[in-house]
Amino acid sequence: MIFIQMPLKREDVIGLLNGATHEGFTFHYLKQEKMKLYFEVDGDQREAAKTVEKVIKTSKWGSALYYQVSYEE
Amino acid sequence: MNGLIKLIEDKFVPIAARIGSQKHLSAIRDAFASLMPLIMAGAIAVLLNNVFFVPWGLLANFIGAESGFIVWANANIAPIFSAIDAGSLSIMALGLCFSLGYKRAEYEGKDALSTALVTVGCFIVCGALVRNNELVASYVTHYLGAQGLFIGLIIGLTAPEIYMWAVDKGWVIHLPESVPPAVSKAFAGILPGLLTFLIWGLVYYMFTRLTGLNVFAWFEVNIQTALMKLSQSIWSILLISTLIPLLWFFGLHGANLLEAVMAPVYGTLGLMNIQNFAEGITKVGMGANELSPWVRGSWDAYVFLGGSGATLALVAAILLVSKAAEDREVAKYGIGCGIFQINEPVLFGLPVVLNPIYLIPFVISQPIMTLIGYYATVWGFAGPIVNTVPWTTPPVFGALLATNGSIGAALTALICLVVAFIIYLPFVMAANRAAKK
Repeated sequence: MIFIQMPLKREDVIGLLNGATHEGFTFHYLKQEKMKLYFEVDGDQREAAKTVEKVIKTSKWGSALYYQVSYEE
Repeated sequence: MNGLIKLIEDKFVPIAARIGSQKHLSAIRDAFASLMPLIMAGAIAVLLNNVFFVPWGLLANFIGAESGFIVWANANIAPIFSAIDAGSLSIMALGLCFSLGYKRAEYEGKDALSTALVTVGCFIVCGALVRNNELVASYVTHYLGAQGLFIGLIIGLTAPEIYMWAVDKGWVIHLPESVPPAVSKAFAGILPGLLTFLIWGLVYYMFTRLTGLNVFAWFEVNIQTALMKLSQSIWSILLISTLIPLLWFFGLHGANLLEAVMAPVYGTLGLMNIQNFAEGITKVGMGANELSPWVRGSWDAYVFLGGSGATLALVAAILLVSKAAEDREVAKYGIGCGIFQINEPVLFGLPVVLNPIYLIPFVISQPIMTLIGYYATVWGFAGPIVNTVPWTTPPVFGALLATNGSIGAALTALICLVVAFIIYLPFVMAANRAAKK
């Protein structure tokens, strides 16, 4: 499971990842708790978290945002 | 709060995103970041010299400048580290030109190596190899280091534009397809390179004819000094100190947005302090041949204690007075990282980000600590920052090292930490009450 903690643009991140495949990982949005978003993904969770970081960072607003991506095996 | 978040998302994030991803600002940020191996190698060399091996160093204060070890080390060890400094910190502007040229071309999908080399060439064309200033840092005889950083920045941003513009115009020599790519690539750069050199050669000539000074000397005399004085105004420093936590609090990447301003101005002043101190200059002030009171490292020494917003003080306050089990758990986990100036677990774990209870202490603690650190340095209680230490160095110890062993600086950092603790305390109690309810 991948967790993304971000105060801003959470809806946009859900739109960016939910059902989408990036670098071979397909992400499914599970739930939101306060500023924490949960996504399910198959495969190596660590690599998937790195991919999420890259995807957000390279989005058009990613460079301005403060967020943290973590994972649980 | 939700209305405010919506407003920030709709109005501010697009602007911040444009700033954060603007190609030239990104190139400045990344170019300075790529200089880290030079900065750290030079910083460690200078730090070792300043602490152990030179007669005006920390150790010499205790055992005497005439002691056998200091005399021997000054003759046999210090020259090695001075040589490292000459090839690292002292060529920062040259390195910046190269990396800026490289990064600009890389972002535009052009030949990065050729662009970087031409950029460095233009920097030299403008007269970087000769410096003759009797008033300020007369011991520096070239503009390859801190004294040339501003012009390095200007050339590093403009020379690649000229070069890439000529390439885009198709002003390149085309070779037959049978020629190896490396050769045809090199030939393709000849005419754009020539044009770029020609323009900067013209700038060099015009400046010298019209002002009697080369572009470096003219800038140093007329603009750099004023810019540096402006940067040392307490209001400029307070503005940055307030903006950083404010941006973080609202979930914006403060470092990404402010780095393009902080690195060229306060980073340059930090390098100048290191250079000046290595020459035996110890007086703090804003005049010629003095050490600047506030440089890039000052924030790490007195303000970012445990990370932005001095969250180490917040963690301590939670551990001391909070009864909220969740907050105490986060604080226990966060204290280890906080000692090494990393505060993401606390900022997101409590959270501090977007938490109205912590908005006030998180944002106001920084300018208050800045005032304490600034005036402690200006009034001579704390020594100036004369060494570069990694930003992950634990609070208080970091201030001690960065100021070459100033006990006053360590005490100032400790006072800042205590003040931040006092600022956070009532808000931790309020969070505690809110958790109980």
